[in-house]
Amino acid sequence: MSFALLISVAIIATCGLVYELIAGALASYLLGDSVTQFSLIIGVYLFSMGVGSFLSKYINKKLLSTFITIEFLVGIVGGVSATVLFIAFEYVSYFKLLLFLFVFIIGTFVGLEIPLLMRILKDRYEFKDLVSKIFTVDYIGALFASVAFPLFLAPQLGLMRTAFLFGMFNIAVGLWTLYLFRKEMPDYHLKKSFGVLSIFLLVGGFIYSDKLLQFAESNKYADPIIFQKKSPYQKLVLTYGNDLKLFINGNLQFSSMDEYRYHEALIHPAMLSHNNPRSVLVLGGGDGFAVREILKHKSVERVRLVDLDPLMTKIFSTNPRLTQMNENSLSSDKVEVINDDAFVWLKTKNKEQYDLIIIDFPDPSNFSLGKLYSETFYKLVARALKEHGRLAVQSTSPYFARKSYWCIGQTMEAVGLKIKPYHAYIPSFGEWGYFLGAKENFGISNKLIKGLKFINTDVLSNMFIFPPDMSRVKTEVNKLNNQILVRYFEDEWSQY
Amino acid sequence: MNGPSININRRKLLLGAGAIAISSLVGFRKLKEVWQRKKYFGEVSGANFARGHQLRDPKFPKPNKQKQTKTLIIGAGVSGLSAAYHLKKWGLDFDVIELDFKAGGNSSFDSNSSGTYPQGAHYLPIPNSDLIELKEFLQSIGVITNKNIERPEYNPEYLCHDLKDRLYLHGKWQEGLVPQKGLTDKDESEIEHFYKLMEQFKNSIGRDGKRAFTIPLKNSSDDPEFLELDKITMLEFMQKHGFQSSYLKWYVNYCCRDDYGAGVKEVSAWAGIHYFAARTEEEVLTWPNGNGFLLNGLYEKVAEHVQLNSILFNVEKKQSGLEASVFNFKTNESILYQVENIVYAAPLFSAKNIFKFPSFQNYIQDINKKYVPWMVANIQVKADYNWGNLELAWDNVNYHGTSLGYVNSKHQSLKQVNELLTITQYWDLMHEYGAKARLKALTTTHGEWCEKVIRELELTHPNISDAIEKIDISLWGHAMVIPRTGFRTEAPFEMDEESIYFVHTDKNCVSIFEEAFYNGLLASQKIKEKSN
Repeated sequence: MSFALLISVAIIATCGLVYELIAGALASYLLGDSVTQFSLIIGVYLFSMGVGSFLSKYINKKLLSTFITIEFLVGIVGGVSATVLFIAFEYVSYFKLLLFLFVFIIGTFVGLEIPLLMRILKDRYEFKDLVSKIFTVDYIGALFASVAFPLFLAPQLGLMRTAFLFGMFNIAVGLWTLYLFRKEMPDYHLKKSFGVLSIFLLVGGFIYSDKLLQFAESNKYADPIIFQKKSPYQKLVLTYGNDLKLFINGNLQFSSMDEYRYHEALIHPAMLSHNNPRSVLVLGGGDGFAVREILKHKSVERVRLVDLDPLMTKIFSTNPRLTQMNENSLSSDKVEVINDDAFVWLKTKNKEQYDLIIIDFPDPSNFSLGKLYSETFYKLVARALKEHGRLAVQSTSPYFARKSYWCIGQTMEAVGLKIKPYHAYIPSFGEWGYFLGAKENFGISNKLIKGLKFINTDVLSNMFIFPPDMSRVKTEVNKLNNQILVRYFEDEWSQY
Repeated sequence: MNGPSININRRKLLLGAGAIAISSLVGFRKLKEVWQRKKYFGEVSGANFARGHQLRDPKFPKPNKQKQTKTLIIGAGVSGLSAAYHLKKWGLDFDVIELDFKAGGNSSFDSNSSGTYPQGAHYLPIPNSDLIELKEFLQSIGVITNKNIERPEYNPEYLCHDLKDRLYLHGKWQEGLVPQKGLTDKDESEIEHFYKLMEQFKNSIGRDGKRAFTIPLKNSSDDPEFLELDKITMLEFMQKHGFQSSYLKWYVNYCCRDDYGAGVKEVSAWAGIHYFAARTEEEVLTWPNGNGFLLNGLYEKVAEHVQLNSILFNVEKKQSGLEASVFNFKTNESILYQVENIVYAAPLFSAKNIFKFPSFQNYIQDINKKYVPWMVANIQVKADYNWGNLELAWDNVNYHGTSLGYVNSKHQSLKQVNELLTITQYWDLMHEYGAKARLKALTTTHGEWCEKVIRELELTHPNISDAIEKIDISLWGHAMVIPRTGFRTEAPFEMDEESIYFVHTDKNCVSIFEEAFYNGLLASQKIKEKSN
């Protein structure tokens, strides 16, 4: 019996075991409880092999051709198995079903392999010799796989690449067999093209497996990603389709289509409530859009922006597409950018008082962010506000999170601020809410500056009218030791 | 016909290979652990037993210097510093000596690159309204922010923030430490009933007009109706009231272990109920360095009077008063203090070789059997670690764990992101090792403690070891005295007429800040009265 034939049997055996191990490792990695996962995978795999062996007796014609087809199919299915399962885990609810379907298909094919091979070869070699040698190399291949997998393959290549690699081996065996028996193959060229194509597919997968895993994530976004980077504080993703969108930790921050609505509403009512705002403090708002609106007011001499993330303020002052959008506001001579934690900065570093304070933080979706909406925090804000100063706070949606919205107002009142609630419609977000605040009673003039795209005098007066489904509800005050706002917020958004 | 025989062989092969794969994977992982488990930086510290043990066979030099002061306080933990703080307030003369190189005792703290962290006690419940002196102290250090302490307003930075506690139960974190998932109706009604019962005790007044359970302990009612509860264990109490729910039993047992270092089988029912019924307020105060914050508040006012690295090794009664011999480990010299009063604020067992009179020796012999050792592990972790299905809370407990869980020292931080944080894991060693706990504690190496700490953490955070940067161990061989049955009815040892005052909480068998604070205060009040 030729040495090459024995090698290919060994390869088949190795591949068969590797797929089993990949499925087991992947299942224990994703689902936990490795003993259970391995037991189930091995059981189902062996059973499927039994099914394959059973089915082999119904294959009576074209044994060789069927064998080659099976090698190609095992190669493709086994090769892509790890990648498909990894990606599917993020998206499908019936992941376990898919996992066992894969195991069953691969197992059935592998179960067909050896019976078919023995029947192909039984007339060419002495049976005693055949059985002995095939099983010997089968065992050796299995040993090779079970040693190489944990020591080299899984740690060095990873599960996805290992799967692609052994898929290629299977197809290579198929192609080689095809080449050996090319004279007996009527559809030799068709088969050859199919095999070569499959190998290219798997080579591609092997090379781009990192990118494929990223795709698993990027599919969360509807548009292509043009920028993504993780800072120590958050993950920033910019996508560009019809519009440019920024996502922080997967949550939409703005869309270029309608961000002007959000930012005009955040800035101009506050500006109109002060007769001559000269110094402005912006907390959050590292995208520079709020500052862009502030700088439209000629009275403003100085803007200080405190944003946690240097990466955020850096890309919004250097990336051309973004600086075009915020009109290079962060690079203005009037603007000072400070990268610091707003709470700690206000408490320990700020020595000044401001005419206007703008608060543009992410929604209170966790306990850390909840602190930035607490009574203790607003006390510090009030301390930094001049006697006739004004304050504007982005305050989530009074429609989708009605209690959360009014809780923010309630908490501002608890530190002695007078408040004026208002809202605007932002298509990307829906109905959105803000509060104006001050240490004294105050009104709002209607002397709007020119060139606004969203706010005119009618819109301005309508902003302060609340329909019954968004009107004030009674809430508690948000404190560091009750974090009631985070609880309202979680409760209310979980309904959508 | 080849089929079947082939398949049997293939099946065997694959079964075998599967088994090899599992065992090689598991075995390989184990091997990898042994090879690659990092050697964690850190050290073992805690009570300075090397110095303390020298009292067993004292070989200190004879005093070559003399010093006079009115009151000598032994031990710069909370009770000693409380005595000093109040003597200072009243302008009385005193000195404090401390065995260790720093003040602290059970309220010690330390720091690493992530910031400060507690090595022992780590919170103070909001005091009941009648604890005026304690509230005055809290006001003086900015914990109470307003003038009128009748209606105290607490600094929101020190009130424990939300999320306060979470429990790992049935593979998931839940909010709160009282088990919620997987309970039957019977479990739930028992828990409800238990809380009702405790609420009744909270509101009970004895025939002597005192609250049945209050703080400090000695202000509680002496009505026999309640003292009866000191004759049975907490477990017997629960059995008597028909409590069978395993969840409730776990919870009550956990609470006893957390406060007393021993479970329901060991502690007196009076003590067990005291935990639930003595306090009228719900909120707790906490700081990154735990009760080290409070300790500092006391220490700063009296620091100039404190001699560190000093041990008291002999006391003699003279006509003029007391003569106390003190050895200083730094100067290698002994000083003879001529004093009127001694406030002994070190753990009681350490006085065994100093006060030789028989009644005291008997008392010490008895109390010595009731000490429990504690181990406190401080684990520095990279903060971007994912802490599970619920955000990291202040107190994090595993229902199936051996330790008492861990506390996040960065919990009160106002920052959005902390690059590093330190979690403090508490071990009441009796729970696992029983009577051999102290010996076990002293013979375990740093590497062995690390292994234990990580194994415990991995039950709830399987991949945490990669995120760990440093593990420091604090050992407290005689951390506290268990309040066993009879602890409340048998009078604590007092010797005040002899001008020697014992103020360590060992004598109360309840190791909490309030007891220590009032023990010190009371001794200083008596000294003040005497000097008037």
